[in-house]
Amino acid sequence: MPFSYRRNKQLIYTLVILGVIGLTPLVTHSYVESLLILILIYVAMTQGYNLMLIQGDLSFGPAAFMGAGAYTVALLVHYGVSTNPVLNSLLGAGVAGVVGFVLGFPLLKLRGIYFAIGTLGLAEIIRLVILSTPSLGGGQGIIVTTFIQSFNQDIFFYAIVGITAAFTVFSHVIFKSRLGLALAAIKDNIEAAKSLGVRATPFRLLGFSLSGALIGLVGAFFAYYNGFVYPDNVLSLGISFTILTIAFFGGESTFLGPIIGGFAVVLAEQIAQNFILQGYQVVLAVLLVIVFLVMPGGIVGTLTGKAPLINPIRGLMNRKRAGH
Amino acid sequence: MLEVQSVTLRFGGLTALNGVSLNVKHHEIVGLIGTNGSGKSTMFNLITGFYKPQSGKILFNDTEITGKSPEKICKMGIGRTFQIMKPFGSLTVFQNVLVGSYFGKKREDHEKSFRDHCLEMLRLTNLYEKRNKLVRDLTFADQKRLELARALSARPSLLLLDEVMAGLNATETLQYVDMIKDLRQKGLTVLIIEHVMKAIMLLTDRIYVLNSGQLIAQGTPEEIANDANVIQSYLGTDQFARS
Repeated sequence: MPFSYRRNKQLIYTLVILGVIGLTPLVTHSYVESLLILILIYVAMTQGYNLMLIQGDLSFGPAAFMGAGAYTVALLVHYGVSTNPVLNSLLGAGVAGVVGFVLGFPLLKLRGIYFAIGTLGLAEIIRLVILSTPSLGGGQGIIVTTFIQSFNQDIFFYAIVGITAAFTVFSHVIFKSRLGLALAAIKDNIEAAKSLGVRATPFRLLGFSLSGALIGLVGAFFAYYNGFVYPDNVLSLGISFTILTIAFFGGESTFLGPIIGGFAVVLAEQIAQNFILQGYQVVLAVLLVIVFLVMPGGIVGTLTGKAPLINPIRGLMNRKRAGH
Repeated sequence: MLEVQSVTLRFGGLTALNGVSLNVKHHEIVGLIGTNGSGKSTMFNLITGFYKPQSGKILFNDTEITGKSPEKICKMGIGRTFQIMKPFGSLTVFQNVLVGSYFGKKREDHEKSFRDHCLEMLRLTNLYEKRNKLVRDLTFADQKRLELARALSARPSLLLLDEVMAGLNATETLQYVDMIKDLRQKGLTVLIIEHVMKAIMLLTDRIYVLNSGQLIAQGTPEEIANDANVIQSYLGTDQFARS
């Protein structure tokens, strides 16, 4: 089938935005660049997280995968196993994928809110185990010192722009593939999907593991970029909920959603941090409540007419566009 | 082709099906009727692997399928529709059908491509013109047609239809009856649950009647229409009809 602009609009917009972002080091200074790196770390993780959402599995613990990737890199460097950043990052992604596969076995027997609570519980267990295991750094964490840190920040910037673009294209390929069709069918109605021959559990397991691997790769990147990992900066609930808020604010299961949501949520968080030191995450909670009440499809879902815009008092506002 | 041998299924203290046997031969259209809650849809769920019976056996083309997963049973050639429609709401009509075409029974080398097969199923069910619409934009009757198109897309040799004509008007019902007759012409075998008696009488070669999980009668449509047991438990008495 020839490449069609209309069918691939969101992919094209996302790549164009990333291209423009990629030019910023030419015109701006390092603070903006480090802020963009932080935003893109979340955008990339949310692109990975979307793979879970297209199969209808709402996870409350994506940070577990970020942690798996970051800790793999940290341990490889710390124990001197390998200093090759590309190899280590790929290993980080691989370990996160395996974690997804192993945890997916028991978790994917659950659906809906039970699955969500299960992921939350397991992610917290992983955080607590690491926190109380000295050989894994415990509460002190692990310093990741390599030659890369001596490089200019630009290299990290271009790397994360590249990773985000690659994830967007990868997600697009999955969305348009047979696997994507099967996952969408599973999300809409798992019984009907099974009755048409879709092997729901293996497909969900594959989607969950792939999603974990992508988030894990970003975790590996973060370990190198930050130079220090400890349970609270890669495994915390706060990270999981930031990813979740970005996904739903931007528009779940869309390509453009993570980038719009990423900018909005991370910037809101940064601004709020200046005013409410400890409880700044209340901003995320308010954003999530507004999204669920007013535009359940997020910004992109509402703008494309795939989901309704709702006046919480009067009900649907764009009844016609939403096809209701 | 399909042989259900004395299956029993209990949900806790409730016996949904009690030692029920039935069989369907190649190219037959067989009806399964009964009051609400008599176990008809439960029987479909057993045959298609969504439930596992406590006792009894189910054979399809002489192979035992009792307790196999719904996916495996679909790939063996049993397709079904659901009483409460279960469309893939976020997908287009064409994509709904494509799921069955891709993942259903394996395509033989001489058969049409996945996409051509889907388009043929959509033409057969008069949905071709609406193939790019989202399912939620379809009328009720079209959604019922889509249930059939989707079940057919998985290339079944035995098709289980669960109240596909419920809620359709007289014209739509007759169109649906013609569609099912066409399917038999194309070599399909059909087991159908239906409350629209006119359709059942027009379509079926044989009928099984369930009541409270028990098989109370079986025979040709004429025999069933005149069976005292069936009249009393399902079709209603003359006296009731007159009141």
